[in-house]
Amino acid sequence: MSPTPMPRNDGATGTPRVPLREGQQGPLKDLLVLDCSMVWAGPYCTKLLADMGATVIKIEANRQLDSIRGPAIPPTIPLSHYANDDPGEDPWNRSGYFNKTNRNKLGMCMNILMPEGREVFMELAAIADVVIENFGGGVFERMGYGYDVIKSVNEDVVFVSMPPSGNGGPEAKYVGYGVAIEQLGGIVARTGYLRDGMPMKSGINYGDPIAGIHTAGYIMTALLHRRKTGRGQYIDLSQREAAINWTGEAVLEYQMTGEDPTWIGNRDAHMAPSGAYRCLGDDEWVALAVGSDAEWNGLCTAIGRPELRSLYPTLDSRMQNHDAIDEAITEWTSTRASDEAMSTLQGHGVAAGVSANSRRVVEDPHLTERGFYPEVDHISAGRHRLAGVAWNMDRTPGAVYAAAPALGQYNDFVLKEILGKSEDDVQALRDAGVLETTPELILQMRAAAEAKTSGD
Amino acid sequence: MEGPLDGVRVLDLSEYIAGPYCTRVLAGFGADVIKVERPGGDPIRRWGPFKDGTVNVETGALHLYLNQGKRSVTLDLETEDGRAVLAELVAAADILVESGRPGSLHDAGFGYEDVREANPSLVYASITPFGQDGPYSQFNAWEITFYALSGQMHITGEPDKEPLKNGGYVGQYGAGQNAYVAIMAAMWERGFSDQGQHIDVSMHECLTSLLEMTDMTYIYGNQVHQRTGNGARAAWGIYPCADGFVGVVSGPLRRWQNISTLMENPILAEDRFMQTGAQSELRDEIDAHMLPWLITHEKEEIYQKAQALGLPFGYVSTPADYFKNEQLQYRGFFHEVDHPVAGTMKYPSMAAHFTDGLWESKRAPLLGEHTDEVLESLGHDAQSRANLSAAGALGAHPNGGVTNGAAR
Repeated sequence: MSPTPMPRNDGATGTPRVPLREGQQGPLKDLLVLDCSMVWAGPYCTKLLADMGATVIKIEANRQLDSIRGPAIPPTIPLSHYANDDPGEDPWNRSGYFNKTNRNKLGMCMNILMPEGREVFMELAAIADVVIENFGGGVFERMGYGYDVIKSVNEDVVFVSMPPSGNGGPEAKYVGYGVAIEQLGGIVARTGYLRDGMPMKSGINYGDPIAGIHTAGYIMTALLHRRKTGRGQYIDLSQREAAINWTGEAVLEYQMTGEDPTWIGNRDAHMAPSGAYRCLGDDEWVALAVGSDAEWNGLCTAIGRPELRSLYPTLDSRMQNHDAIDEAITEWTSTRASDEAMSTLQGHGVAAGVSANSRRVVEDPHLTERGFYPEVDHISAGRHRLAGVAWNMDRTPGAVYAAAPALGQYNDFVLKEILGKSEDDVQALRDAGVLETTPELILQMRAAAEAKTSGD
Repeated sequence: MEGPLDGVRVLDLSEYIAGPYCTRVLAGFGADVIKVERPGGDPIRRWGPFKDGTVNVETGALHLYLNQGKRSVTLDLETEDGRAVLAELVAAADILVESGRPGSLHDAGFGYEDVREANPSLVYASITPFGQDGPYSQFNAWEITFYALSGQMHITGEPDKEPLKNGGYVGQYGAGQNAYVAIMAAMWERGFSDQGQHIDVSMHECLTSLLEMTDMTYIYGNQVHQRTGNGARAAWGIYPCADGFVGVVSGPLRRWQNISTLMENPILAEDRFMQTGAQSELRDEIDAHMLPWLITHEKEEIYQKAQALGLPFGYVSTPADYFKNEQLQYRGFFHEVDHPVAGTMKYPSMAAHFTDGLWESKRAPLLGEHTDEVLESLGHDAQSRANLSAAGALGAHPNGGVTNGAAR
């Protein structure tokens, strides 16, 4: 297994060093990313890079699957819906959460703790532009893959580590999920119902994508720096700090006023009225905020209450009489469908939007027209829509061109097409038990069943 | 250390939060960001609170944070001379960031199609609520508008109450952070093509992208995802404590025993709580056993003790907590920045350590502070600058322009 000679990415020509797949396009198609991250924060980062054309090789172990694949045997209450609500023979390949987050990535299932697996991993690390991991508390380093190790075979690599509160310091070994990071990062302290004694968690694990988007930008910054200086970079991200950045003004507000932030429901510190108003139907709402006198006049006209204009002509008066205004708005919205209410209000210049449920989001006419939910074929899950590329570029657009990898689906592709190995080399790795396409638990159960059969 | 974006010239025509946050990051990494402000300034300058409690375009918290490290130039684009100066700035820029309603900059002669010929390598990013085209593109929108349409609001809050928006501006910050990635990607590609392009960032789509698995509830399961308040799982959510609120996160079942250890309550280690699936059914009972300990302990202490036991707890942190937390101090995340009007305060910096440093925290500019020096660098001598000023191109009307609502 001799390493294939692979040129360094000089960052000057844009020529990909590895074969691209059909439809792979975008500004980053010369980049190679070795992705050891799991769950959502790291994978969200590499999703952004993969959507922009980067070749992302996701490394998984069959002993411990990426947890958002769900367990090898489907639980009573699944983490996410399986395709067509059917876990099938291979539930780990059919999780909506995983398949959405990991589209466009190549996936290898390889034991990188075995010597043969380590050798392959280091060959990949040697040619990668970026190596990224999000194990907590120094685990990756203890597995033998710290920055120094990777750097010894790849001097100018951009190496990313993204633990909850950063490496080093008294909390270096702390563990954290997105649900705790959004608390530690100041988002929850400002979220909650008006006049309610408790703050409220978000509907998503906000900490993860906040860290992921930050990291994608930092990686690109480091690569531009590398182009200029020839130097690689170790990026040690703190997920907590990333979340604080998205509430940064609160840090200054506290220093100015001595008061900590609190929650005010759907109201707004700078606008009134602001809220979600009940519409016709079950759990149907339209949300709006009024940010100017012109918008206020438009609202009063739209809901057929022109007398309110002069009753509450100033922001202060609207703030003080918010409850009464809410009642007047609800009286109008509650007899209308949410989409109708939105159209009428927007027609009068009011910043109104339907509170869309998951069906309304996926079927949204605006998103549909912009092509935001493209379809993609998955080897096990079938053909489905997926949330698309987060931004459009007119000359070098990204694309959703391939489904998420089934476990180990691209073992051969990566070894042969990227590392240039022969079938004999790959077979040797299979024989050594380094490569897999099935979770270890399932293999053990099969072996036990076989032993029982042959023992009978 | 030289910043990675030293020498990169950014023309920032954006207002409010998303665009300015994006260009704040560009400035932090060394880009020369010229913030072009309308007469009277970016309206965000009038959003409080303010340093001394009274309205001051120099001391609003959002402005001070979002516009760190930029230079401010005031231009009245209603005047021909103002537009002529802008054309000079566009010609000299590597990156342009704007947040106008789609079509509005084209009306002034500065849409992407209008400027690409004069500056083909320009990376031109438009950050708007709903993107450049499609049925909602001309919608009026504040944070709550696209927050609602993105689906985020519907999944946040109690099932029997109205959907809840996250406090603050995470939707706009998120769009700005995405735009930064997009711009960096375009700059990477420009390095070998020498060509710019138009980037269309929709705040709505950036937020919809963050739906985690809930749009898959419909796509894979043909169902509507319901909001579940602070969570349906036992020992997993926000709980009151002595001085605020903690995030109890019990983690995998194998760590359950540690909850009992932490809360010094052996009842919680009983077998019946450690059966798979049992915790959800016994949720109320579990809460009753946890609360007496939680409400007699403080958040930072609970967090530290839980983490020492390998439990992924958090707590509902406020800025007052940040300044007491040892880890954030150890990392040096907050940078002291002095401002001639607002004084010295601690500002968030960037969320990572780089081997080479790379980030520099600077103050926000005074309104129009750099108009003169930027004009001079464009070759306008004193006489020319005086003429521009006299023609009203530099927006020197007292308090002109800002009529959009009263300041708070």
